[in-house]
Amino acid sequence: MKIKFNLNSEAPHISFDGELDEHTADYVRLTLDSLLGEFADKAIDKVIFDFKKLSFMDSTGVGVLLGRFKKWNSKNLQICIKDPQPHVDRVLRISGIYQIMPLFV
Amino acid sequence: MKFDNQMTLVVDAKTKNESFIRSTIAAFCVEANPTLSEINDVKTAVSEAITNSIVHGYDGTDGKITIAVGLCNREVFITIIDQGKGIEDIQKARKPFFTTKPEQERSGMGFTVMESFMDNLIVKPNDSGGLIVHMKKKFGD
Repeated sequence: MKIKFNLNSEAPHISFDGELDEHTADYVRLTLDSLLGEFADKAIDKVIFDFKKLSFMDSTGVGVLLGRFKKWNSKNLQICIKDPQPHVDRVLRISGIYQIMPLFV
Repeated sequence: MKFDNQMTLVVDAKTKNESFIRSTIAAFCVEANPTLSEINDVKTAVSEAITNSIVHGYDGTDGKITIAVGLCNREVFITIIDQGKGIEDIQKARKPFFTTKPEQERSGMGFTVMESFMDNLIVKPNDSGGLIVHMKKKFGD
């Protein structure tokens, strides 16, 4: 799993490249939370998670997203999801994630 | 049951094996000519069962997971067995959002995903301790 981010553009985004499962969950969690300070410094209030290259995600990934929502929402940071692949989209739909992290269109 | 083709994997209950197990089962199913969507359903369901064995069943301790896969008339039958601590109330555990580890950011959606992505799911205690998960899916439905 590789995570890249561009927080300087008008629409700050974080791109995920690889598989999000139990094995990569801790890395994803830590990498994402390590950016919190930077969001505050740049007064960012909305971030896009770009899932175009996220080739796999199971319910462990849903747990990671729920955790980020709880933690980041308390800092008034909104997350949107962009371009999930169909099978990732299915997991996101079943678990109701789009109610708290809307699809970016 | 007589299968057209069969395989059994026995692997250490380590998270680094998850991707390998998913890919191996997907590759084994190719001869049944599944669609990309069907094969992704199988990979996701298998991943849920394996994660459950590692995180809940063995809970950080060493152990083995046995994965048996059979193909018959474009239908895949998968059995995943561990010798972990098992699940006390299986019916309760199968409900959406149920988790024994809320402090670990668990979604509690594992069994719901398995049920939604496969045609049939049976979860039962392993007589020698641990859990047995049976699931099947017909390709080309």
